[in-house]
Amino acid sequence: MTCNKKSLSWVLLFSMLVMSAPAFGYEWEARQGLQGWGSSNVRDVRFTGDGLTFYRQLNGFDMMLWVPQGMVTDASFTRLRLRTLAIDSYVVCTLMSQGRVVASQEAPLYGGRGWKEYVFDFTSLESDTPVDAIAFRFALCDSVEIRDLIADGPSFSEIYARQGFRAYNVNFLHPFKLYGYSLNLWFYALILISGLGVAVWYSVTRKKGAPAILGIVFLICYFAMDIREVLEELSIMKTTYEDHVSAAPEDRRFHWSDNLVEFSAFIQRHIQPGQEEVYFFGEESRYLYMRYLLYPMKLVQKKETLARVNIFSESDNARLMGNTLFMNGKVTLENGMGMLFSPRSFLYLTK
Amino acid sequence: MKIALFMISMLLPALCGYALLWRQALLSRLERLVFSFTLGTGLLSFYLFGLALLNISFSAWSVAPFFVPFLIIGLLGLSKAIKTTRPSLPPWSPLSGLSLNQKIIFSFLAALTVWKILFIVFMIFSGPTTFWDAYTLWNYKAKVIYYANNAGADHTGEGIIQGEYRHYPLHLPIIRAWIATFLGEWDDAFVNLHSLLLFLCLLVLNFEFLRKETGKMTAMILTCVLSGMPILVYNVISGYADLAVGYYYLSAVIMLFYWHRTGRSGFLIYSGILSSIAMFTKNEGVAIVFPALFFTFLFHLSFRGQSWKKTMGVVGLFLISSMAILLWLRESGALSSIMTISGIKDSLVTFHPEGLMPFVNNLLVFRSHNLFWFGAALLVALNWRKAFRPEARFFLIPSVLTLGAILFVFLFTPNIAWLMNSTTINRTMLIVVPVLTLAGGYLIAPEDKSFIVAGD
Repeated sequence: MTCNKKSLSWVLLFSMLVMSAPAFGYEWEARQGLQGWGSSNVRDVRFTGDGLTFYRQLNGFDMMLWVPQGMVTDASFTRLRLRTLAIDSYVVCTLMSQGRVVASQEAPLYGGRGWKEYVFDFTSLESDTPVDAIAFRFALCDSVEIRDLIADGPSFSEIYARQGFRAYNVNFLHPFKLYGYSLNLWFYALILISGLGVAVWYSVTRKKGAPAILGIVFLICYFAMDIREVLEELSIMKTTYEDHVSAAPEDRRFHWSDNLVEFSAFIQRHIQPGQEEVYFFGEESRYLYMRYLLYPMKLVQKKETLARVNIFSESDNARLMGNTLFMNGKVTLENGMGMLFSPRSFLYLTK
Repeated sequence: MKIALFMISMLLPALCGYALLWRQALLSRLERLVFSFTLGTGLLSFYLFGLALLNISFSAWSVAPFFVPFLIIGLLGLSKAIKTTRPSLPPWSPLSGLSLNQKIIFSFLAALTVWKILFIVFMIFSGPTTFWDAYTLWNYKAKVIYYANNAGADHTGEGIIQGEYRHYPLHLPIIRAWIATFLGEWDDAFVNLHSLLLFLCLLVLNFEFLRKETGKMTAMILTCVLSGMPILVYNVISGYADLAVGYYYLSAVIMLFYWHRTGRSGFLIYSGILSSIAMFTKNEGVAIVFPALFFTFLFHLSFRGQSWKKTMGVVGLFLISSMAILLWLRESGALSSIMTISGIKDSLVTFHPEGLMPFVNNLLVFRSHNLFWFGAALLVALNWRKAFRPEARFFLIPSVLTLGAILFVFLFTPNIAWLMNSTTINRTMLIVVPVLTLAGGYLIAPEDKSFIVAGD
């Protein structure tokens, strides 16, 4: 019976912690509409089932959205959930005070049909300036669908923030946080406090097994962290399934590798690897990845001259119109053959 | 069909390893299985590299001679086995002998471990190779080798190991090319499945060794601790080499431990071979793993009270068994590269105190290693007396030596850059984690545990 009461107390404590999840700061969901939100370079806004889709003006400038002055009191921990199919785009979150910039952070946007959470953590920001507004700039992004936003001070809800599958995960993983501090530190504190308690208990009772109690506390903390990690892994699996496994071919994305896998498959359908060199126009990281995906095709990174087969990947200065290749705004070749994969990625074969 | 071909590609070298190990009564069935796979694939990679040095391409005819000696050894062993019987370890079942509470905890931990494996399988089969070193180096080299049908191939066309990343060892690329050769095509998922196999071997070896030595519950807890380390899971998905080096190091240390316990030279030879496989996997094997293993070996050898002549013979045996790596070191210039990268060549060794806080942050504040390092420190602090027991000491010595070497590399050489940007440091720590976990098992186990193994 005593054991049941103890268990009940633990369940109650756990439930209280979990139920304290909703943030106390500014919370916004798309279904509430744009009450007082500001925007610039937005051509159109449409309600979708789950979010609001913003379309960029055709003038080429970045879209901006902002939560106006007075609605936000603390945005130390800002979480924005959105989805886009844009490639190479990024979002900049800026904290404002009386119209002045206090701090800003940039995050690359990952394309795909699944919702993704972007976390801007300003908890370590050493500034006494009270934040009263947040602005978001979406660079290189024609449209973005936003689902919700939470802006809060350090709180319990930070622990629910999704970290996602990132290119740096193989080297390090950012900590889960709670009230602005790494979850690890909270567990260390808990273990040390338990250690003190056990030491006092041992000094009074002189019973054996004190280290064992501390060991059990440690293992509970370790596996609690592991369970939080399992939730993260579930979220990664869900995103992978939505964006890659079950997505339509034209919408397929694999986390940060954008559409390179699909573009490579497109190239392989049209070009057979041989001894001749294939020129690649695009960023170094894209080149290295496609060099791997397309091997044994002999890819060579170039900036100007053309070979018989040329690959343009998310190129800023090359465009294809029919069979006419424009580079740096000028007609470079007209008598070749162009094969368009997307407006900024294509194959061009010279004669 | 592909899965069958993949299994055959892994089973063939594993059978070669099994021909060497199947009569080792000290090893349990699971240990024999994982060691067979490890030794077989390791020796195969050296053989295929040897073919490359002779400029011979992969073919049924060029590969077949590798299997012949193992076939003979296996048949000889079989004929002996028919004539004699040898003791084997008693069978066991996972939940027998546990109380209800223990059964629940054991099942929960097993479920967590299985989840990690499922997550890795999902990620491997649902996406392409993604992480940087995998597509610029490990899998890329493997793909080049596969298409050229030669372990000495390089995409620059400059011949054997002369091109980009020439000083990076070839064990993983060769084995992945071997898998693709069996599949008849390059398939990222199946090639990366090799990384999952190494992870499974790591978990099985960790569990099985600790089960025999310290009991099922300790084994399950520490196996789950190992599998619950996030950075390890991402390294498996990406097919990076650090996990592999950590696993081969663990295998070599366990074999050395069995030699230390029984005095049988066979285990010493296997330990030497496994250390050479670790060196052929990543250069950390040469710079960190081998020195730590060799010093551990010398330390224990010095307490055996043997004659000078016999001692030199044993040292010679260990060195000869790890000599396969000389093939690689001679051709690749890896030693010179290690000296340059470490800064020793240019006398750039100096203490970098600015690295201390980032080091602590990486190990204790980030979630890369979960709470592993805090737990390790706590365990040693609470059970420091047990740390002096022979078995615990056996695994703590290489752990401390490896840690020391890693600290030296990252805090005293220009490699501090890889600590400051939180990259290589976290992966390199994976080399020491498995061996340290075994030491942890002895620190947790009760004082009165006898550590006597049936069949010893």
